[in-house]
Amino acid sequence: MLRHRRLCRRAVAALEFALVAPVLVIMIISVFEICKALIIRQEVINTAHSISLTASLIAVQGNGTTALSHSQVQAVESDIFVEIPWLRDGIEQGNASVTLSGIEFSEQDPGSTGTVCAPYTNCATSFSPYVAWSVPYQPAQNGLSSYGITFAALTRPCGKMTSGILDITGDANTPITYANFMTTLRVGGITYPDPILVADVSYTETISSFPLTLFAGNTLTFVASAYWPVRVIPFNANTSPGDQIGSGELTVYDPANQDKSATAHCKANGVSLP
Amino acid sequence: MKRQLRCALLAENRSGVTSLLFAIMMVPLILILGLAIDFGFYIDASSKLDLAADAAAMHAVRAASMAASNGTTYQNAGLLAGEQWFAAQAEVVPGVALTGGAPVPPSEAGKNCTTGTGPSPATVTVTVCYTAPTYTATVTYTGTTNIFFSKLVGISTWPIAGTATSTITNSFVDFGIMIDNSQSMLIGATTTDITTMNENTPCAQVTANPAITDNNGYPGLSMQAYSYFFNGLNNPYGQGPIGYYYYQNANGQIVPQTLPSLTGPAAGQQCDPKLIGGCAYPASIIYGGAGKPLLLTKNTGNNIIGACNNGGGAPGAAGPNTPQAPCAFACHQNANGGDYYAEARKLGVTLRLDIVQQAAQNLLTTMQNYSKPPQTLLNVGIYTFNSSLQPVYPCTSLTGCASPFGDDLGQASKDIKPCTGTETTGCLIPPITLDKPNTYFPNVFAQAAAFLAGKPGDGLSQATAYKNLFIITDGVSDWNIDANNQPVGVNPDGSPNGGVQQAVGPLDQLIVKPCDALKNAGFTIYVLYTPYQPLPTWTYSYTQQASLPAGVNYYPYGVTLQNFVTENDPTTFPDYNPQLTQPDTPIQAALRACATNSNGFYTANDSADINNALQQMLATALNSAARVTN
Repeated sequence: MLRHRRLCRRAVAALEFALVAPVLVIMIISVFEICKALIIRQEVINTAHSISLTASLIAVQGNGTTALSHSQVQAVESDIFVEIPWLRDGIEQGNASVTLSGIEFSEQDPGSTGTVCAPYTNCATSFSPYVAWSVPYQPAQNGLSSYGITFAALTRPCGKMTSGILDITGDANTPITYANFMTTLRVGGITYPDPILVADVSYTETISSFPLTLFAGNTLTFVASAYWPVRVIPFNANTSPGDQIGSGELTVYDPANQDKSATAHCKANGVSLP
Repeated sequence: MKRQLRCALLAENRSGVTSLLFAIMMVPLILILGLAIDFGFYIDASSKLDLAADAAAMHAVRAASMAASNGTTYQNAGLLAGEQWFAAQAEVVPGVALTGGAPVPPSEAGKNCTTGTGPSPATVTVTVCYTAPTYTATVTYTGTTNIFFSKLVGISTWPIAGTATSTITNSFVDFGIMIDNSQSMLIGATTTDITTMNENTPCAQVTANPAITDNNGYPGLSMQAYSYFFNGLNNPYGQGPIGYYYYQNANGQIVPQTLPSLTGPAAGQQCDPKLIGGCAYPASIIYGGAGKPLLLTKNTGNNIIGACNNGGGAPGAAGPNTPQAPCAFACHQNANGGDYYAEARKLGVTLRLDIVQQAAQNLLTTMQNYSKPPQTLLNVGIYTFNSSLQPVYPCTSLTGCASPFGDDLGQASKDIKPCTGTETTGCLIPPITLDKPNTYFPNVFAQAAAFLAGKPGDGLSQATAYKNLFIITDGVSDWNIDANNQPVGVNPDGSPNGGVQQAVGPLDQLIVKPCDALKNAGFTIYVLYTPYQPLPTWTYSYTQQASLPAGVNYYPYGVTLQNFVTENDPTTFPDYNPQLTQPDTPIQAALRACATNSNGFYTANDSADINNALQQMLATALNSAARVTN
């Protein structure tokens, strides 16, 4: 009897499969979660890329200057739903932030005097970036759909960037994280300053599947920043790049249509630029 | 046998088979999982580097183009900007080692390319090329990604590479600049200038008489006809004759006269600024005498500039008084050399035409800054017009001109230098002879369409340049039409004869339709409309009404008198800023229709605005957005 039972091989495969199945399932889920995370990670980069280059294009005015209205900025920032369709579909419901900023460069501090290098040449002096304006995506305040996603109203601190600037030659290995990405601009080694639009995008994904929930506090946050020059050549190149701030030549944010939120952009907050 | 049996038993033994299979399967499964993760990081790195390359290529073409405009070496600027901005954005991607880019693609060979790799160790290759009129920047990176799991199968790195190209085409562009220099453009440039002209130019033929000075040291003016006293000080609109005048008697003596009986209108009866005919004026005035000009000076204290009536009759005799306004224009010349233009120059009055010419010079300076080697892309032609078109640069005649556009922008600027005094050479003197008095768009536009012949092309070569036409005008156009809207009294060349009557036809016939001829010739038309500054007096367009022949409609300045008054009334149009929501005036609407695009029409009436408008027109015409080509 006992021998018979020992020899009984019925349902062995099922039993063994039952033993390995959890491992298999965990592996499959892991592959799914990892791939999903990698896809979102790439889509976050693409979002920053897309927003910055689109903004730089629509900012070009018929007369060769550049300007963006508040609604244009909001519309461009909503590109996140194009680049990360899962946000629209309800598959992803994490927290996000999208911010578009206008960054200009000045060789010297506002009001001071000093040597200004010849325009659009290799300037020996290093330039300081100034945040001229910084506008977060706030769909609720602007009548746009948020698809249930919570958008954090992050802005780059206005005015001269005095900290957090990473020198591409000396401090290149400092990782950019969610904690520092809004204060970081990797332009420390730039000797050829040119105004840029900066798109900062973050997305925090909640991990719900074991065993990845063991890692990273159940969430993964991806950040990406894209720097993009404006797409127009100022036909009159007499302006020194050191004098570009507030010159209206580039990256003008329309102050007549001010940010409707409490975290208004710089000029609405009264941060005066030279 | 025993061994065979054992094998058979082993083969038959199915216990642990699933586990075994699973264990075997785990190896490729983990490898596949690892490859997927590796590939994810590879894609991630690739995305970041592509973003950096795209932006760097854009920076590079932008820098190259701007450096060329700035007279610096475009190659170095482009390379530097491309390398730096690639490095700035290509943040550290885990496991990626860049080793520089590929050499110049064969397709770029022969295109005047320069390649650089930046500081060692090379991470990127930037190629900047310029073949007029297009800048191209190519940013190429190659390298390897260190991989994690794929090492298990003996692969230690994956190659990673990418290319981004941006172009900017600064097209070849021809600019025709048409400057209205008819008499209406000789209005004082500012209200101060207008007032100065008003105070010093009763609307009559006047010559300075340096032999006479009043007790303030002002030179006297000799006048012959059609004049009247005005008080230019206390009432900006004129007030009727008060004060003093002088005349030259039969013996050539200067005789001072006072006019105690000719006091101004009572309070509340000051001249209507719009219709001087509504004012109460003295019925008679003292004649200066036929052929014996009345001499006029400024009055002590009151700044009176005198004028006289008719001039017929015996000196000192009284005669009928026909009011005639002072004139804000440096026009109304006579053939004997005495003219308001000379008077304006003597007084240092700046004319509207002066500031237009100055703004055009500034425009040419901007063009020069832009159009420097290697990108000498702009050619200009300067033409003035009134009743006909007069080439100024590069040709000075409508006939025998090899090309209506030239590339010597410096010479063009010299050729339109505004006059500041009574120069006879070295500056562009406006027409002061009677045969070129009034604007006549139908003739001018027809001549321009024929003279500037040549269809515009794609802007990629000098022969196929884009063609733009800047028209600077006050839109005031004088011709007479009869009841059937047909021109009355037209010269053989199409210009209106006479010129005394300030009358025009419907504006679509006068401006819009003739302008279509230019559009059909392929020009992109930009119009700068320079409306009058508000005029303090209006009889310039009023007093000649009675002299129009029967059946001829009278429309001063292109519209009815009422419209004209309204159009120039500062209370109706407090600002000529086109951004305001006020409706177009009739002339404004006609000129707006003449502009090819809605952003090609500008309105400005002071020096700064005219200057800005021209610069904006240039910027609009030259605007060329950079684009990523792949």
